[in-house]
Amino acid sequence: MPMTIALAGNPNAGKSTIFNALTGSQQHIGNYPGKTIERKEGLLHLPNQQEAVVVDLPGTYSLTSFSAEEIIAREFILEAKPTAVVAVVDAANLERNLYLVVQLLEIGIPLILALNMCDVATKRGIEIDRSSLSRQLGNVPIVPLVGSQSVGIDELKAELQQFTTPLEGPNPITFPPLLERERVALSNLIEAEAVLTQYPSHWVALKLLEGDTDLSTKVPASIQEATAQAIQRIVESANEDPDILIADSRYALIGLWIQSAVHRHADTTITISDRIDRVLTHPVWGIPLFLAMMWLVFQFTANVSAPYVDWVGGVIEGPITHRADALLTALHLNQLWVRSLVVDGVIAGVGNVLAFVPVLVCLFLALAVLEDSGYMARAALVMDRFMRKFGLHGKSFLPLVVGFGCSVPAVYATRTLENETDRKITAFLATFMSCGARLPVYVLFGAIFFGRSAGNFIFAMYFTGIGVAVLTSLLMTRFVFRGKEAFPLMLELPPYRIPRATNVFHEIRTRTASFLENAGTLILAASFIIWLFLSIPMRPSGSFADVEAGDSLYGNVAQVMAPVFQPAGFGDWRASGALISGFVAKEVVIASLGQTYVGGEDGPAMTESVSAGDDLKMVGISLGDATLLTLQETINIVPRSLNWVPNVDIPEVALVPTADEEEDTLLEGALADAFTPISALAFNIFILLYIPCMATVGAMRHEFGTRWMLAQVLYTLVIAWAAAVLVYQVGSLL
Amino acid sequence: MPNPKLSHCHEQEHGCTLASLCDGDILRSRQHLQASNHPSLPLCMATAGETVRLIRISAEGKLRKRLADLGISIGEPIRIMQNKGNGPLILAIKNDTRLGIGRDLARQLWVVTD
Amino acid sequence: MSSLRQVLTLFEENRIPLTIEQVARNLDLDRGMAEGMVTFWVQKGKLRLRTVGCHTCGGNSGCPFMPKLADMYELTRIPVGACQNKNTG
Repeated sequence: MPMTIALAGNPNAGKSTIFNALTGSQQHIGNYPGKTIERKEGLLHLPNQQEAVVVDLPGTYSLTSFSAEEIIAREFILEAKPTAVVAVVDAANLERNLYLVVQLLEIGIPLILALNMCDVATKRGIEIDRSSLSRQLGNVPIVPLVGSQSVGIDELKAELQQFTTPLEGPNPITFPPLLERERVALSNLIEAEAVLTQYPSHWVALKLLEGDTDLSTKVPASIQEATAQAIQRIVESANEDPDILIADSRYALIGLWIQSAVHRHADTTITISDRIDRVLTHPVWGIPLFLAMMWLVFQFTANVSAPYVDWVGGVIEGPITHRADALLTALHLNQLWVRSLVVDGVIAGVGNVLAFVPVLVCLFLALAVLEDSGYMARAALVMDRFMRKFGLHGKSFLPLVVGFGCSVPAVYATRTLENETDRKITAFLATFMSCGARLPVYVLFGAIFFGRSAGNFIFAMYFTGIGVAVLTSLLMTRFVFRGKEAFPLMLELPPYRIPRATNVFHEIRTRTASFLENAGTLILAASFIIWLFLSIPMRPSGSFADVEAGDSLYGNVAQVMAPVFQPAGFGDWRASGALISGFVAKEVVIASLGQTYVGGEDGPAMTESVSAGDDLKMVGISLGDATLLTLQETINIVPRSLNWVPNVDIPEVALVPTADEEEDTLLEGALADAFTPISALAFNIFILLYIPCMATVGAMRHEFGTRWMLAQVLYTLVIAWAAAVLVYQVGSLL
Repeated sequence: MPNPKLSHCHEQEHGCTLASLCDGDILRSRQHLQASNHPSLPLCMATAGETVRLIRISAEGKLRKRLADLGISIGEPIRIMQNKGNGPLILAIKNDTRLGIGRDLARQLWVVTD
Repeated sequence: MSSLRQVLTLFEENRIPLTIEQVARNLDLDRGMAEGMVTFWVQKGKLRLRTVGCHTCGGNSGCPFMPKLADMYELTRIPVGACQNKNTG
């Protein structure tokens, strides 16, 4: 029978590289029965031609039953009884890694310690006395390795070859007397009752005392009872749960080993992170780099998502509307008002908002990458000096960055500021940071009126928000809060790392889910109310749900407001109606634009009947087109940006025929007729600056009282109107 | 014997020459300070790569508490990883942790070189 | 007091979310050791990774927009943080 060798170790301890170095190409990868966890097995040829099967166990920090990986690892070790277990530990992070080693020693299995990443440890000034460590672990052989350079692999092979029987020695793992007593008693009981005989009884006893959920279901009631009593006795006399005592003695033991076997030189080495920081936090280049980074984020968000936005919009307007129609007819619900509610109300309202999910996914992706890489903390550090010039300080930067996502948490995030005045100012300004809900509006208008420079348009909107915030801050620190002193900035800078796909994915998923929840509740309700207001006739000639939008209650209210916006170029009642509804949430602006500009007219959906098969085909083909277009746009970010420089003309990639005949969605078409580029710009500026949504106003009131809230509502209305008028009037002159 | 003018400066760092000392030519300011036999210097004058020891924090209680939370307290060795121009400082403290602090805060931390 | 207990006490005394680095420095522990101990308490249900957000915008999945700087942990029992006890929006 060939030897079996199991590789155990923490995730990131470099197990895989060692596994590959040992087995070469002779690997077999499968799954553990019933689990999604990968099982890797390979064949190792020892120098003396002997063969050994190497099993790469899942990476774990512990051998409890907390995760499936841990259970698999420990069951393999206990049941397959490998000839030797090689514990792969990261020498540069020995304390954490030894926790698993202690638990392997508790089982009492033949162990070899592979001390991986020795080069990194040496660089960090960590000196490990291997013979001392080996002695303390109970004469466990220790092999130093640098897995990534295959250094030490031959030595490990040699060690495995001569490793026949485990060296006998006293088990180095000891527990406090109280625990030890109970463990021995329980262990004797387990042996007497012949329970779980394939496992070492002293280990089962320890795990039961630790409260292991997996094992406690596998032992008979008598043992469970005895365990409960033992745990109670321990708690009574030590005033602490046994699992805490056990973990603590493990840590104490590791502390002792480290103390005598590891020596650290105090010298701090310059890491890769430090080198990156020299560039990214440079006093001169830091801010431009930050701006460039944000510019890239918005280019990415606008260009990459746009084709998908069109795709989702098309699918909602076409196939989904067709299917809804078909369903209503089949259910004999095709009365006018039902169709109006479903198609004009729900599908036009919620559907138009849902179309922007791709935009948000892109924004979330970009933000998650920046966060997970560790850049966000640097951004705060770099911006500190800049913020101070405007009476703010670096920590205000954080709520402001939060504001790019959503104003509500931004208002609450000001609680991290020490000073009340700073808090008030920061919360006041945070609402000028263009939130995620405003982005879809810019994307929609950007695509219609600014075409390829939509990314720059969006960037300009964000910048306008920042500019207004800066001006407001200057005004406030000059005139409202004079003589305030800023609290200095200090922050921890986590090392840079390559963003982990799981983290990024998790962030995108939770945030998108949250947005969808919002669309399913708040926006659905708002769409319904807008539809209702649009359906109530204000003239005797109309009947419910069969009224010209302009003659409805909604239209009448909006018409009263409309003249106010005449000087800003969007005196159309439909635009002002959208602004009123936008107070609920800014996403609703699109929903109500959809209902008033498109919902009222009969779309082509009514006239032609399309088969389900054709619809499905259209969905598929347009998705393919959108993907190609996205790819093209992503590549073209580079030449398009460089072409700004005079005399540079880099050809752009064209994967899809030029989008001249590109079909606008219904809403895009309607808006293109209703706005001019300048009035669209003014409208977007108004959207950017006017009253933040209901939720934010509520948060402001909650945090700073009614007066401050009212001051903000008033200020934002005035400044939004003034800015929109200014842009429109000046723009019209040019 | 410390220079009386500098000790004065030492006590009230706002509105005195120290701010300009810090932002200008670090080396010259430092020579000036050390020529006057001053035992300590503000952190903003330490150069990158140097390891210093914190001896005094001239700031009020809340700030001290925040500093301690982050791991900056009297007697702790601090290694300066970055100190350029008017930008923020990056420090390495215990456990290889990196801290970023603003320049104005660095003026209030007094250190000695080992 | 045992080091594990000290970790929990640190959170109880400070009542603010802490990073692994802060725990390590405050208790003079190695970073990896502190990480292991915090994980222990997380598994035991006493600490949790702080999910920022005020739950005003969409369910209990945490805030969709709040950026993170460093992973922070907090007590599960006494919720503290940027905007936990709020729900008015």
